[in-house]
Amino acid sequence: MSPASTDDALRTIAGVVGDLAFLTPLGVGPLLAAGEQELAVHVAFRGSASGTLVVALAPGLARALVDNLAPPEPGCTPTAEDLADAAKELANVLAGNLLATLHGAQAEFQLGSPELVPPADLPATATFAIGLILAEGGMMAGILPA
Amino acid sequence: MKLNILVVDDNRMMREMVSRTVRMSALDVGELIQAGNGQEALAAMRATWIDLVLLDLNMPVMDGEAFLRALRADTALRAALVVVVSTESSQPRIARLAALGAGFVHKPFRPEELLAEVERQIAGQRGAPHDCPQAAGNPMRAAP
Repeated sequence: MSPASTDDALRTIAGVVGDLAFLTPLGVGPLLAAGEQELAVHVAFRGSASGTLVVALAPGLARALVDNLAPPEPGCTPTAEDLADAAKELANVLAGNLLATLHGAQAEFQLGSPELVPPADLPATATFAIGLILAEGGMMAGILPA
Repeated sequence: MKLNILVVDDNRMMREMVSRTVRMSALDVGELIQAGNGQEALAAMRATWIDLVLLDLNMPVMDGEAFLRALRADTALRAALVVVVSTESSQPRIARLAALGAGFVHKPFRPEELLAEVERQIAGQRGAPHDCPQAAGNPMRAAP
């Protein structure tokens, strides 16, 4: 990925996470090692280009998503299924938006269903990978290849 | 007139978020039903009168575009309003959806964007010529 593409991709990630989780983008962060990940989601895509995207979430990010998308009743805690659904939707929206950013509006893609995968050091076997970290007041994103 | 609305998305969290957006809006909502894919959505529409479908595209079993084609080919169901709510950015695919009479809202969306598109679709239907199946007295579409 060229530097310009990386900047475009980071802008897209910031916009998506900002809209879905109300988190202010704070800049580029380190990629998450396996042990730093709470959840990881894999999305396969085919069409104008084929590959896979892995989105890894640090602790707290999935909860922030749930709180914005479908907040639990007062006094209730989100279930593991809630956190997984939120992470999957984030990965799905990131995949759709990033592919458009990187390949243009004439490209067509079919996205596979997002699937939870065991945390692994990024990028593992993915075409590209994103690590998202919850920071005080917002979030930071790392991306590979950069 | 109350609107019966069907929210179709394979992600439960997103179904809840879209449903919540609709419930908190000024829309006069009747039944609010959810389905996890196009096949479930068609079954739901055959069981319950639906005025408006809020439709995801990328879903297992039957995706949104296949659902929309099946819907428009079904004389009993085809007059339902459809707004696609998707991450899709491909202009050729969005043009195909528009040709099938669907509105479009890009994910991630703000509640006001979704509601504006729904209002636009409703206004478009009110202004539609009276030769559509609904206005022509199709017994299923005339029910409510």
